Amino acid sequence: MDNVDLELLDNEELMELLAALEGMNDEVNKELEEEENKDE
Amino acid sequence: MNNEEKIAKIKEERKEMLESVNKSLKENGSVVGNDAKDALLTVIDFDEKKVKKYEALINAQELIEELTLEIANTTDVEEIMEIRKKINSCINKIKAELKKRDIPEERMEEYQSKVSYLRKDIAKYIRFLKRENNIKELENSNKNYDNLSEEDQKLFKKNLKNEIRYNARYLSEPKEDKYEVVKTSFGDLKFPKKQETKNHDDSIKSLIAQINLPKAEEKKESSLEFIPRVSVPEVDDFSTAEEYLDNRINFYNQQYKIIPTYEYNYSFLGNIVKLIKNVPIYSENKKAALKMHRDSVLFYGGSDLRSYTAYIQKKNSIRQGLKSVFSRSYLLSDEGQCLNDHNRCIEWLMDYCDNNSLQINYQMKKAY
Repeated sequence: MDNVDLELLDNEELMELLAALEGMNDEVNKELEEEENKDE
Repeated sequence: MNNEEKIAKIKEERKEMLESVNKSLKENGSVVGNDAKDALLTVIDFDEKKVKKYEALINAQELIEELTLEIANTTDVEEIMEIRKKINSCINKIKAELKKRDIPEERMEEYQSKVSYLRKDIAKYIRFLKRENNIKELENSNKNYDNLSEEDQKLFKKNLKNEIRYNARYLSEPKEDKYEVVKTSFGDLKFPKKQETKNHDDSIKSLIAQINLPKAEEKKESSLEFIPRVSVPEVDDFSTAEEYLDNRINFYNQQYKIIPTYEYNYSFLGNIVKLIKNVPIYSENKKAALKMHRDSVLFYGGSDLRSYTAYIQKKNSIRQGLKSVFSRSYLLSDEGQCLNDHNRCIEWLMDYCDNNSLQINYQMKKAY
């Protein structure tokens, strides 16, 4: 993230970047949740 | 034109411009005038900013591609948690930047609805890549299956069922090619070329068929299959206890076909069954047979029996059950009765294990 100069991106580009990261976060959280259930 | 091409174009134009300025300097001793010079500097400055912006977009694109692949290529919980930390740190930075800009709420909502596709697409794409990886892994396991030791094959069968269930979400993802490129304003997110997935479902089916996983309905079937009773050899037919015992063991092996229903209780159950199969018919007149029986108990069931004993000391119900199983086998001297008892013992154990297998397995592990 340090390579990405956020100030240079316009609002929409920032929002897109945020959406992509949130999509990843959704998936990672689901996976961790499943892993927990699997352990139980 | 993608961001790299845009940067290349700007640099090319600038190069041409500088060449023209240099040429003008050489030929005329000066650039055509201060206004022109300022204009030139403004263009160069403007271009610099544009280049930086495109570079930021390229870096953003690379970040997303890297993170996506990192998630898709790992199943390690620790690693996944590390990735999550990275993602959250990025999210926080972007939110802070957005906050600084003080964008009106309705404008934010407008942006959000415009880019919501991306959130779904990235998640979907990760599942797609996971599916690819999982299938590849299962196929590799399949290839190696024959080379595994018998114990590892058992473990593999046991784990595979869990894995398939756990990965069902990924394995059921569509296999079409549509997620290879995700379009964004910071560039098209390009991912490595995927492998052909056409036969993957068949591979999984054949894998499952090949290793013969127990089917759900099999669990309800009896664990024992009785074959028609053959005549029981008489103790007096044998001159030595060894001969008698060998014959007895063979007889029980033929008489009872033990079919373990669950993989996870097999090793435990197997030992108990071996133990019982080798309990000879005891009568006061056959002390040598009793000695052999004790030897066979130690040989076949020693380690399991010790841990089992430790466990049954805590559990009355099991203790009572086992006590009756073993005492009947030990003490009854009537041959026909003893044989019936063997049937009952094995059935009891089988039923008990079927009903309590998880608990026993867990306790057995603890006992070890």
